[in-house]
Amino acid sequence: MRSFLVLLVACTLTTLASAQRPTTFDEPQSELRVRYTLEVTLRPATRTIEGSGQLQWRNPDRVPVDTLQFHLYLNAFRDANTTFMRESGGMHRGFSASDSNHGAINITGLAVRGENLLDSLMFIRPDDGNPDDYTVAALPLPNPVQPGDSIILDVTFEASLPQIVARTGWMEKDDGSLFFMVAQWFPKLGVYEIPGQRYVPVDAPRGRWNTHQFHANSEFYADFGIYDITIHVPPDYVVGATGVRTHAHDSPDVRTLRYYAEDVHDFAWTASPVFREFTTTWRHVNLRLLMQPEHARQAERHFKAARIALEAFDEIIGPYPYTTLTLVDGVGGSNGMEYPTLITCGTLQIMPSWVRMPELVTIHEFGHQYFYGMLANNEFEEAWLDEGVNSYMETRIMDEAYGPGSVLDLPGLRIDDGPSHRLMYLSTAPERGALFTWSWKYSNDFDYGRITYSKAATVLRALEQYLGRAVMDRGLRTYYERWRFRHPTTRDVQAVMEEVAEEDLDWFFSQYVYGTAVVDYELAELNLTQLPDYSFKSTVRVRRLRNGIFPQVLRVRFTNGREEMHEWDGVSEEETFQLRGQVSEAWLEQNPIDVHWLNNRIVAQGDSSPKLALKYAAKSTAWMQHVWHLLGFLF
Amino acid sequence: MTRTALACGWQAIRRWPILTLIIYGVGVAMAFLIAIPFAVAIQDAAGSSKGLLAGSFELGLWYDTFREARGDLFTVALHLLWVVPLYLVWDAASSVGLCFALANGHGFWHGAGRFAGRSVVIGLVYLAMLIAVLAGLIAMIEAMGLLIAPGAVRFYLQAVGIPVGLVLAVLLINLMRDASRAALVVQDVGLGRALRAGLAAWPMTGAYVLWTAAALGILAVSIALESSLNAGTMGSAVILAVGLQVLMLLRAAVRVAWHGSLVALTPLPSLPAGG
Repeated sequence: MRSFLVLLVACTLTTLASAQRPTTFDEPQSELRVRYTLEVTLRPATRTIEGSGQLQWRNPDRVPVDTLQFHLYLNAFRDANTTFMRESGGMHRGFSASDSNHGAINITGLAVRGENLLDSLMFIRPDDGNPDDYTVAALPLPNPVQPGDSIILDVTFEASLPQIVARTGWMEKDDGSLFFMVAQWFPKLGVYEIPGQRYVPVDAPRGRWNTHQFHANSEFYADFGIYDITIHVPPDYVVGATGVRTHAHDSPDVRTLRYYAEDVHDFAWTASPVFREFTTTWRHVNLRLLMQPEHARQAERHFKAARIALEAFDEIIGPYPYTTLTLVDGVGGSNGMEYPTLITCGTLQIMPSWVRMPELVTIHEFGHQYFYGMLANNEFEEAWLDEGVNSYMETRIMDEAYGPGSVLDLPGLRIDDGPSHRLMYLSTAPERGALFTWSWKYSNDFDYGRITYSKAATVLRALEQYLGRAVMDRGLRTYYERWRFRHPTTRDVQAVMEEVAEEDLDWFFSQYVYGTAVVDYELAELNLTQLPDYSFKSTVRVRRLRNGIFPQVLRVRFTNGREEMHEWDGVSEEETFQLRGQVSEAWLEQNPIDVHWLNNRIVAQGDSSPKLALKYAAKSTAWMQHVWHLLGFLF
Repeated sequence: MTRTALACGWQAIRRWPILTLIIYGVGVAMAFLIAIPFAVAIQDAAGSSKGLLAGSFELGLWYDTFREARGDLFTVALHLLWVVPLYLVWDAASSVGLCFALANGHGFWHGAGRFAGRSVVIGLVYLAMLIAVLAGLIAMIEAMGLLIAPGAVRFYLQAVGIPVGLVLAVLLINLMRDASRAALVVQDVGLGRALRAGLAAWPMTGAYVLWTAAALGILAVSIALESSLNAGTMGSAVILAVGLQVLMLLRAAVRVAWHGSLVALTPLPSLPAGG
């Protein structure tokens, strides 16, 4: 009877899941250069996985290709000498790598049509030559792959998962249960860029592999394809993964789940016996939320944020074509990461509603389904295209959906997302670091975050202000329509924005994307002169204090209340405006990228009103009196 | 007993308003030592944007203002190093001054001067006790980690139970300390007996809770007033200043009232047997 019930449940699950497509399209939209058909078994006791299956790669070049290149990223955690460990010092975003629980991946079998190629596999270090780094491998092929042809590799591998580091691995929770975030877990093919693709000259005789070692400050780059992955876990484990589940089967010893994804460039999965599962739908999307049981009360916060993000991206950028989205409430350093159709969010057991970190992380990570997922830039070389553009979208959505006080909403202290990114940009020397910088070339992880996320978001807010929101949105939508399921570059973004704006934006990109120009304009002087006819002439002098050039909008208010607007290209070091009438106040339109807002305003004969001092004297006097009384409780 | 004590507290406010004025006046004067230089530094740094800053909260402008004023603000912060100890000594002295004046009907400054030294010692003893309790609570957190299985029970014990326990400990020690100071003055006893009197403070709990609740209520109203009144114009800034100071005057009155109750609840020294 028990076997019959198990069979019945298994058949039902299989039937229910089999009808769903992974996207809203009838057929794949990307070039499908790769296909992975893998079977993987999780062994919780040893924190290992064993995998086997086939990797298929199609040669997109017009000449034969005689070498394949792979990422083997779990090897970044094998010891203290890898490039990742050397660069990070074993610390990634506040979480340290375990001294004893390392990670590694070992290919145990590699063959083409029965011919063993394992001995030919060699490790290469294209970025830094570090002989202790084993995160990239090259495989010379006995027979080159002809243009348009495909090669199928039979592969077997074993991997030890690290105790969670860089959003990957396992963690034992306080209650003894295990959590697994299984990412970068299989031999993943690099990207072979053909002539004309990204920065490979169109007249180059042949394409080239673009494969990077795993660095402390970098994410990933891979080709679009099909993933058909079968996962075996213990029967009590709940699994979340990229793509749609097409098959589920439970036996007394093992739970088998099969996932299918297309038009994606990575596959990640998570497993834990204690996940609390929540589901809902948004239009064609099945949302699945896997939460730690102690956070289950916050499920609706996550779903609400996900729905807000889906709506906003659909409206501004374009449709979300996948039919699934899995949100994972991970443990420790696994949170705040994106994979195709699967994101990790994370929260704390006590998370007041006025602190919107779960919402911010959910919206940000969902945004990566566009800026990384579909618009798959090379995250090693142009991280600002995913982290920065996505942070810009995050600020817009957060501030419009939850503002004012979108990030922190306390009486008297409301902090929005856009301004907080600006402060991050200003938090150290703003002239340090261009957006267009290879991720591991930033001086440290703080600079990487400050520049690729916060500076980029601020710079794009300034661009939006310059172009107008309608043009900006048209540019983003065009960028999405033209480049989704491909690998766009900064050059492509600039070309699209110039096309929709119908103007040359080289001044902007050269200074603020490729360069490190800093904007600081000052209203230096406001003088009134009485003319012989007893009328007044006002002189307003604006100065450019730093090297950054940005068109300025000067607004003036006259004593009779009339306002005027004057535009200035901001190129010269100084500009004087002679205005008829008595100007009482002049100010520059607030530009997010201007590093000093206090000098953007000037009033005639100075503002002698003490209202600011009175307001803060009143407040701070009362604060101090309260402090005295509270201190009285202690002494 | 509590009702009588509350009535005595209320009487203390009504009959000796000068005490409320002294407590309030010294408190506000010492607050000015920090608040006025702070406000002037902000005003100076804000330049032509001060009107905007007064009108609404703008994070970017505040960041610039603090960056501009950081030297002055650091100097203001340094003043806390001497103002805070000075206030603590004043607090200890004013507490025994209030007890003396309320017990005898006069002589606040006399009582403050006569008992201030011993009042400070009592404050130090109870501060040491508070630190010991804090250390005990930290030890409890550690022990819970070892003894109680992870899960909701342990989480709530640690995240809610411990902070609540700490607040209750602060209040209890504060009550005992005030009872010791009252005994020091009312019973005119030595330090040892005054400290022992703190252990018998439990009959004062009702009055203490009610006056403390009144003090916390004033704090809440003050925060609500501050956050609801934008004070972007001169007029509303004046209203805010006056409103907050009325509340602080009430807060000083609550302190006087608590001392009135405290004196009423402190047993008088027993008379020597007559012959």
